[in-house]
Amino acid sequence: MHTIYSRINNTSALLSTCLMCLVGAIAVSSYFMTTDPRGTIGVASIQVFPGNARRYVNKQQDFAFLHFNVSADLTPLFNWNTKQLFLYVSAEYTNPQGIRNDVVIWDKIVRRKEDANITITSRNKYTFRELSSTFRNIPPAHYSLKYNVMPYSLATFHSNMKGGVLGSPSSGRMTYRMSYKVVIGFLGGLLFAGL
Amino acid sequence: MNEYIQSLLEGRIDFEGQKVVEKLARLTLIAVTAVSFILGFALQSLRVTFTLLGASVILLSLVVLPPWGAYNRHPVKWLPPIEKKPAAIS
Repeated sequence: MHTIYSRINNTSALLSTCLMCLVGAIAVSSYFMTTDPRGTIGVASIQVFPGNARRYVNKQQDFAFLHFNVSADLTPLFNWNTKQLFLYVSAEYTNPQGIRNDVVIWDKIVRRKEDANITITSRNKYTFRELSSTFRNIPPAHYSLKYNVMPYSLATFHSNMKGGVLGSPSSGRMTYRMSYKVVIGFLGGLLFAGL
Repeated sequence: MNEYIQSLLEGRIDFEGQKVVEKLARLTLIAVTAVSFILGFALQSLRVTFTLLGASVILLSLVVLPPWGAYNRHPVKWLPPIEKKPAAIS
């Protein structure tokens, strides 16, 4: 501590330790702030049309068009460590060959707490088609609303809000309660390994 | 002149000053980190946490880094030089 350089060195060394501890404490604190947000996804209609994809002009394919409404109150997910939320709708079904499919058909990024109370009527944002080119003989799909929490400090949360089972080519209107599941991300593990 | 500039750049302080600076820096940094965490948690705002921490660090570096006069009040008192040559041992 005798010269100005050694003082800068010592103080900044301690500062970096303090910062690491602070960031770690912030990450740890968000593990204790678990919430159970509620939301519903209702499917208004599912229609399947044959058509051509732009890429494969000569291939006849089935395209599914899903109209749905989503209402969810995600405000409790916004704590001090929440940067943004990634909200998405996925269609899960097992095809006759026994292969599990999980297709993301719509998503939304929620950046602010003020925008986290969501009521949306929409249709699928991304093309929904089957690899085998037809939805014939495909069992009913399970549509679910899911979200990821992206925090400022390191730990990544992945959570599910389950929707309901719906007939695949027919239409129906159903609402389901969400369940909540937290999987602590890889980066969270990295943080604790680093500390 | 060269020596003067060098002493200005180095900003040396005495032993007592070093002790004070070390204690002050350690206490302040740890306390400020704890306080900013608690305050940010209470207000649920990371902005509060890091503004408080940053402002405190700037203030602390202003107090601690320059060689203020208070850190140079206890200069080392050297013994007077011994003039006489010690007697040779026969």
